[in-house]
Amino acid sequence: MKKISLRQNPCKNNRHRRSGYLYVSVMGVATVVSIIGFSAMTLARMKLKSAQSGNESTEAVILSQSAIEYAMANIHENSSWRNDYAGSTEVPGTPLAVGNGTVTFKLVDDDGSLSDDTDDLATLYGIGRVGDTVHVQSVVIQPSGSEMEIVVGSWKRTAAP
Amino acid sequence: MNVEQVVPGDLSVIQNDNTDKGLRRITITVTDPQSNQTTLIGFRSETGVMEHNPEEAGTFVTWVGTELDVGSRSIKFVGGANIANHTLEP
Repeated sequence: MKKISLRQNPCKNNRHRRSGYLYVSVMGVATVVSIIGFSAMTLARMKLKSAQSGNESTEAVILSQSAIEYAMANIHENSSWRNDYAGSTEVPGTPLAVGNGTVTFKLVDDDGSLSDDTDDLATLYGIGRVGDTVHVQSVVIQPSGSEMEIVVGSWKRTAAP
Repeated sequence: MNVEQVVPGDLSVIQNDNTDKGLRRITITVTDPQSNQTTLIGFRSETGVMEHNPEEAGTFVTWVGTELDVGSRSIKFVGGANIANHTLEP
């Protein structure tokens, strides 16, 4: 049996030990640098996502109000709006593309039928969508002569109908 | 900023005559110092929410916001929101 002695070649052993320390040191530094880099990238991505989300939200608010304006102009122009927009469904059927999002509106009568009584009030929901962001505003509209007008004080931000 | 008269039934139709249907498409484009452009489009109607005359004279609040001074260097943080249902100033 061959006897192995550590004293046999001390220079070689020291060199191996130094190489090991160097390897561990390099790996440690590389790991720390990687963690810092990954954290910075994650933080930047989160900031970008937050900014995009903020922009989408701002635009969705504008579009939801635009939806109400668009609906009021259509109601003003269309004498058969109570029949055309009945059914509590979003109008138009294919959402209207505006800017980076879409616009729709929905009319809801408390008694369930928009067309049964021309004196009925109705709730008008304006819906703006940008990406995954949805914003809804609503107003109550009431007959005023032959037209419909928005009930003062009824304008509010609300949940999707 | 660009303001166009449009037809409620077909928003792609821009009216240049006098047959005003009471709907406007407002396009606002902003260019930042790095030449990035941001465009927002909105509609306003003559029968819309912004066209109501208040039932009585008063001063109305249409926007609320906050402005925070942070630290000794007075770094400002500003934020705010438009109020949907305009309220009388207290």
